[in-house]
Amino acid sequence: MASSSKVTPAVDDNTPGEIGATSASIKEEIKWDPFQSPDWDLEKPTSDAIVRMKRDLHLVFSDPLPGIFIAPESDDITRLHALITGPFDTPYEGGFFHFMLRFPPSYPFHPPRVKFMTTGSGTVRFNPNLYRNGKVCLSILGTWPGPQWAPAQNLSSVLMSIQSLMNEKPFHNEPGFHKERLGWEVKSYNDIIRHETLRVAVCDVLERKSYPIELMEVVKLSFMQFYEYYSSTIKKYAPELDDTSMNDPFGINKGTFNFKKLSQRIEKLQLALSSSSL
Amino acid sequence: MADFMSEVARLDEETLKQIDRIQKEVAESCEFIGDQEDIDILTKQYLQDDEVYQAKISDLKRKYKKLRRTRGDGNCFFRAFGYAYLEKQLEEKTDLDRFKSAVIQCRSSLLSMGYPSFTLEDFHDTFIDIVESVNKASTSSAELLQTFRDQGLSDYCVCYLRIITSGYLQSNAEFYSSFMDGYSTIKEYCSTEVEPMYKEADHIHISALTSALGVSVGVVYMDRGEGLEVNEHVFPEGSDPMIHLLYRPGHYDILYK
Repeated sequence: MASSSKVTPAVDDNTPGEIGATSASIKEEIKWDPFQSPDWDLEKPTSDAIVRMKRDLHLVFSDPLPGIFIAPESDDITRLHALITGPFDTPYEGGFFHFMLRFPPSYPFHPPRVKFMTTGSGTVRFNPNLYRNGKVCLSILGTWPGPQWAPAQNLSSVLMSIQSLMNEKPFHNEPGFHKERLGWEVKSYNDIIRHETLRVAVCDVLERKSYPIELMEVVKLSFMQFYEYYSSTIKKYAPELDDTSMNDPFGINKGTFNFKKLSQRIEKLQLALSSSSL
Repeated sequence: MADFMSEVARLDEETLKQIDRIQKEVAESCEFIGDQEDIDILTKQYLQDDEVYQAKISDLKRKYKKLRRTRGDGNCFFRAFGYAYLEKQLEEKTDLDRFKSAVIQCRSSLLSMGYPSFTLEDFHDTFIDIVESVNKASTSSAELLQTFRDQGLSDYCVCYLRIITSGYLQSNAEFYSSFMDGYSTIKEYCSTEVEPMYKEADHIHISALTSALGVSVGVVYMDRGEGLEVNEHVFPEGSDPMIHLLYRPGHYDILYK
């Protein structure tokens, strides 16, 4: 691949026709989607499993993790929503990322299934390990090679592992991409993630109020705290990037940078939130 | 490269799925801990003209009388270890207090290594409850067997023994690190090969668990290796075995004199 201007696109199970999708569709897919788990619907969780789920939830509430919030579904202990705010000093900073989790009936002997919900309706690939179809690629979830789930792990460790995917240079999360090959990929990828974080994981979230109500409360409060960061980020990147095309080193995310538009949306949201009309 | 790695990821998934299927089949065909049986049943498992195995089974019969088969789900060493030791103590009750303090010592050491107390306590309490029940005169061997055939309780024991093994390996990293081929740290080895359920136990696991709990185990090896006799290795080396396990490639059963 010496002289190619783009590196090989990473596999994304969302889009048929992309590399890997064909062979994957022939084989039976491993189950990862909490919304498509008929195998778990047949089995009732054991009482031990329920006790353990409660303890896991209790631990997250009693020993909160920075930037992580959960909202269990009130009528089903096996299902919960998690909000992970993008960590500081990463291109995800200030973003509100929503995950849906489901515990197996045999918890803790098998891992929970997790779906990433903040994908701009399946259009944005926020990370090499976060597919547009919501699949979260993480070895402890059984969706990636490496150390597997062990019953000593728990909900907190799962959430922290997911949070750690959102790091300073997510480009390197793609296996085999520990080094830049062309010299621009890390910055280019970060620019895209930063823009899409503001667009999809901030503006869309607040405008559409698409997350569970408990999580929306956290989002609104945090928005005000991040407001300064949003403004300065937009000021910093708009002159350089606006009206240029996104150049995703994996060739997946597409679009044109438009920080000016984001600025307008964020100002509007800030006004609405200040007058508590949102 | 991306394609290659994704292919690896997919193959890994395929393997996991296959393992899942096999586990279900195995589960339907065998209890976690079987009934005591005559060693003779092994004779029928191998071809009559399989000279190596038939000779080794004859040798095994000279040294042991009975065996208990265990479910081949990758947890068999841990389950066999736990059951065989507690069954023995159900009769003798000579070592339980020492064993219990060893388990409690392991818990403290795991807590100091940063294992979250609430997951640990869960496994610890379940395991200690079982150990204490063995100490009661009223507990029958049928009850202990029932405990180890109950998936929840049985798997909690396996899980805790795995964590204890992992903790011991990590606190003796200097000694064990030379045996970890292909892993950069003990921690990585443990989170890949020791703590996850269904991962088969190797020499390293046996060495660590027997040392951590001070329980001596004799492992009788029956494989295609040289000779017509079975060889017994004792862990820790030089100790007097309290229990005996039969190893056939990939599997452990319990042996009785």
